[in-house]
Amino acid sequence: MTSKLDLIVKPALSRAYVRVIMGNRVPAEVVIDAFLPVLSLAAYVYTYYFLGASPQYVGFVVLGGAMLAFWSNVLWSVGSQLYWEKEDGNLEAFFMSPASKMSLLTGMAFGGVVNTALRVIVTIAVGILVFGVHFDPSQIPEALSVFALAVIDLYALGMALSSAYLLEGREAWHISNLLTEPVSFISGLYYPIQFFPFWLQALASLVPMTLGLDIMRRMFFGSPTILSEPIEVGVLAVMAPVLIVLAKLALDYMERFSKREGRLTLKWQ
Amino acid sequence: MAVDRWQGFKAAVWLGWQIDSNWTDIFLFSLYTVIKPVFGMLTFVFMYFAATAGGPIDPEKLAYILVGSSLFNYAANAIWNSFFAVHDDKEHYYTIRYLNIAPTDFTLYYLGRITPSVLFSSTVSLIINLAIGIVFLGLKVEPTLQTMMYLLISIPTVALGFIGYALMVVGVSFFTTRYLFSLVDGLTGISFLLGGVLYPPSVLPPAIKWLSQIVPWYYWIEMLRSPIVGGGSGLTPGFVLIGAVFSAVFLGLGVWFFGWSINKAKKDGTLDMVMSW
Repeated sequence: MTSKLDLIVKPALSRAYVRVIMGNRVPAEVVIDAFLPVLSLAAYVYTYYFLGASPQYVGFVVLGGAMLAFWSNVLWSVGSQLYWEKEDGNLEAFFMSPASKMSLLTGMAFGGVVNTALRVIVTIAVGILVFGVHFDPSQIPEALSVFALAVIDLYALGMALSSAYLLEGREAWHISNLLTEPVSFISGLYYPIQFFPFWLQALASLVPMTLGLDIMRRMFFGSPTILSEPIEVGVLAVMAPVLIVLAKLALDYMERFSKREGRLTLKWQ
Repeated sequence: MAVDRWQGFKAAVWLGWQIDSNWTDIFLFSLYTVIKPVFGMLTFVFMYFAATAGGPIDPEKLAYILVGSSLFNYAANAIWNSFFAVHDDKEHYYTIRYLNIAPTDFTLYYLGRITPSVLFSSTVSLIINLAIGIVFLGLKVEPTLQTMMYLLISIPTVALGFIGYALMVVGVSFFTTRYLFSLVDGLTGISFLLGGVLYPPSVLPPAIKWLSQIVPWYYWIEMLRSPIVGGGSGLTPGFVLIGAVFSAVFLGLGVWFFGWSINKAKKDGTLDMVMSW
């Protein structure tokens, strides 16, 4: 007899299992995926060398590169995942099964975190070994907690975005594509955003990685934060539950709406 | 027959435009076309502002980054859209088998298919990026007879080189889906790192600096950037000649490889194989 708890836990674990196996079954792919982002990372570092920036900016690039890996994974493997499932014909099965859709999304997110973490380790290792970035060891436990909090928030945001794909096809795909550059710009992936006007800082703070990076830049490199650190941590801590509730509400609403519109499993929109 | 080939090209242009734009209304499409590249360029410009905060602005460095990033974005978008056209036809719309039996030429079809995105999306966004640079960021573009002549020579030369490059990438996409994205990302990443996009190759460590000399993007981007900013190695005949040689080689290789790829894919049965990456 399948219990209610089973319908929540097992789909999440199964979906995470599929994602982890699929992402790591070909060793060559793991290596390629881990080292490809290093090319861009190195280009950003050399840009700062060209500009004569202080060494801490190289650290900013490494932290930003690590966070960008998670953000890309959130956009393309959690936010947009229901689009791929629709195109591949899996979405019908998901919706026919008694499994919780939220637990499927949680499984996708968890698998995504595991896969991306492997790649992020390479990014940070290259930052330390090749570009000589120094991370103060005494700050690492706290910084890791903040990083984890920001990553959880990002994945919760991805789960909230995913419901858009139940109704839309290419439009949602284009919106995901559109979110990449503006979000990278306003969230200050590679630079502090203190010189942004207040309204833009406030807008940027809605993206979890902005505050996460801001705190970590202060911890490791002494860079000033846009708000006081306890407030920034508090905002990050509140974001996850709010976004998860929002994701659940959005998913339920969009499921009903897209069924009514007859677009739930409509491909190639 | 020539008339049929032209009709096939026109149909491909129309189809490319529809696929690019009919997912929304023209206003949102235009906004989307502009926002992405503008913010891409602004990220690099703000890296400049962050790094030099409080210090005097070096207009040459700012121009180098602004124009380099805009040109790179243009080329990278064009390459991405080229292989994605095959990916779409093969993996999403399952139309590649019908193209195979249609009385049209594959090369012309794909050139037509990517023309709207290159001409409209990429070109418009490049112009807007440069306009933002001129109006808001102090980019100085002061054309002279010499720079205009170099630009007039460089644009078609570089365009032909990129067409060859794109045809090679598109050719690969007839065989594989799984590794295609990594391949394109890898080639683009190497070009971004070594191609003198945001900094001159002299910034790179000596061990890898020399590699820039064999990366075609280095010549192609510099050939376009130098006439725009009014200085740089792209305004010397020797440099342009090397860029032109790269273009000729890549165009020749691209046309040959594209045709060879289609024949091989037909023979191996991979032309319309859906791999559900």
